[in-house]
Amino acid sequence: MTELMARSLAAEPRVNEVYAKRGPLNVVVQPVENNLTGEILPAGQAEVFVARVRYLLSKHEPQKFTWVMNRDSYYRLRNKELDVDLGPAPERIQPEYALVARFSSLADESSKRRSAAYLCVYQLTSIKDGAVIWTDKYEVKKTAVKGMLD
Amino acid sequence: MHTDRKKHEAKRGCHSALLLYLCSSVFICGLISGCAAEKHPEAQRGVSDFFVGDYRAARDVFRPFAAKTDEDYVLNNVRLGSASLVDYDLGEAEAAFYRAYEVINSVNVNDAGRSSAAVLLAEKLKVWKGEPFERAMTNFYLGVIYYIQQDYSNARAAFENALFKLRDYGEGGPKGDEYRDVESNFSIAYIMLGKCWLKLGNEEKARDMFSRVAKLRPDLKALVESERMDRSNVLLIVDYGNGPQKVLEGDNSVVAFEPHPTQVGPVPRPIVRVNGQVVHINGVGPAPVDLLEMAQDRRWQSIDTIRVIKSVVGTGLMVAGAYQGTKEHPDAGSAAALLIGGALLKATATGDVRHWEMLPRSVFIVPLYLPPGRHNVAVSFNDGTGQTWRGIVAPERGEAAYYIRTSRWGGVKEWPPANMPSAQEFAVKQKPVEPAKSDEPKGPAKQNISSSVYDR
Repeated sequence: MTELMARSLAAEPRVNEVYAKRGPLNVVVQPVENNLTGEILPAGQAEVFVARVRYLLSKHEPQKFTWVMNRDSYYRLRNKELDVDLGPAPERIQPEYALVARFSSLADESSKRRSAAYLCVYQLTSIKDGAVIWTDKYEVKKTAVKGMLD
Repeated sequence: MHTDRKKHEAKRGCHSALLLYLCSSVFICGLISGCAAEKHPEAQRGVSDFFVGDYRAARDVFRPFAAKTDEDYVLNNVRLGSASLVDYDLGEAEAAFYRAYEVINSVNVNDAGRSSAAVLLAEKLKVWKGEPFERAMTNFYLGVIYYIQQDYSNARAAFENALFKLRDYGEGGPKGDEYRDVESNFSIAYIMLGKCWLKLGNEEKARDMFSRVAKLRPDLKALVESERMDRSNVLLIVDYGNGPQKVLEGDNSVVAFEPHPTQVGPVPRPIVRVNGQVVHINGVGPAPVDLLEMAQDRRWQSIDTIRVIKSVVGTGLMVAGAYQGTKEHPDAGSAAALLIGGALLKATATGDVRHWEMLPRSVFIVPLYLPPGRHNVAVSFNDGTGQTWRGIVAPERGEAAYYIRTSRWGGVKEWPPANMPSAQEFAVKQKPVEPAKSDEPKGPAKQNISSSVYDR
């Protein structure tokens, strides 16, 4: 899924157009927004799904994107590593675009089986004006027969 | 003469059968009696540590067992989760409950080989996944941990999952009012789910949850009033008392939960003090949930049903065996086989009494609106149990949630707790959880603390 998304984002004409006009895109990566029904997406996993897209793009298209750490992680890191709270950091590169992913599911559950259709939507959105310059989705269906005591 | 001999033989056959039954019962029960204990009985030391308030020691005991992927994996993880939550190590509590959640919600945990072995030998060989109310509480605590960490999406998912499970368990029985009753018993998940939807900005869904609670439990209507829930900047999640304990009854083949709610009386009302002053919060009083009651409700049980059925079959086989022995032409082989089979089934029907000992009897959800700043908050009950948090933070915007486990050893605890990462408080201060929806202030910015301040 992440490979498909990275390929799709790199090939997006509007992204290439912005790059041609203004140079590298400053992109901040947000953890996956969990809209799944009854399913937990721990912080680590939520970050992996977008971090891998970032990794693939930075490996294959390093010139097109400048990756900016998201604000919460950045301040958490500063808070953890520095002895004094320095407050806001004006030197931090201000991102222009946000790469976000939203995972949703439509679950159907009975006493015998549980099935869910998963929809993973990725978007690259302009932080300035909210314009979505790229979006793609990945769909998958999963059916599971329940265990004896489920 | 001939008749006397036949009578004598029949009597002898009966005696032989009875002797066989006794011998086989004693032998088989002796063989299997060891199965009644859990795989790692030394984990009980952690349970004892927990109940005397030594949570750190309890965690040290549970940690290695929680890492072992055996039949007690889920049980030891929920135990570790409980101890870590009270000790306010949210990272470890989350990880432990999440591991339990993964197994509870996974398929093929009790795989074919394991299941058939379990049916034939002892149910204990199956991975412990808990009774329905224990599974619901696992999801609930996981939701609470995410809620405290302000991860409202995952909290929502966990609370949904608690309710999801409960619905599912209701499907096997008769339809009708049963489904409704199951929901009403677990209203805490609905309340917290409503709170999550508020934080996620979906007021419609939040109202829907609160109205469902009000409909199912009219005595909680004042508690779930939307404006109060939306306005609160401090949320207390208070565990009270001890939950049900699983014991054996009858011929050790029937599992029961003790104590019965009638033996211990109703759940007392919590007394909430802020900076030493008692505050009356409308709607906080009736216990939103009583796990002792839930445990007695067959719709919240699963394992003892299998157990009773096995016991009945075992008794039937033994009666058939004894009958074989008393027949005019007794078939000693059949009688022995039936008796041994029956005794084996009865012996293996020895109930599985593994349970999550640390569950509370009830959980109270207390929404407060406090002037921004630090406060001392105490919750106590008339049986001498309680706990005080000194210096908790009431944020100016958003909401901070605090977990309280009342006990005789509850005492006074300082905020932030030692196990809390410093980033947590930082996050509370720095990260406004929800943008103000209007310019109007949500509550009085400066006011003398009085009960009216809290009861909004």
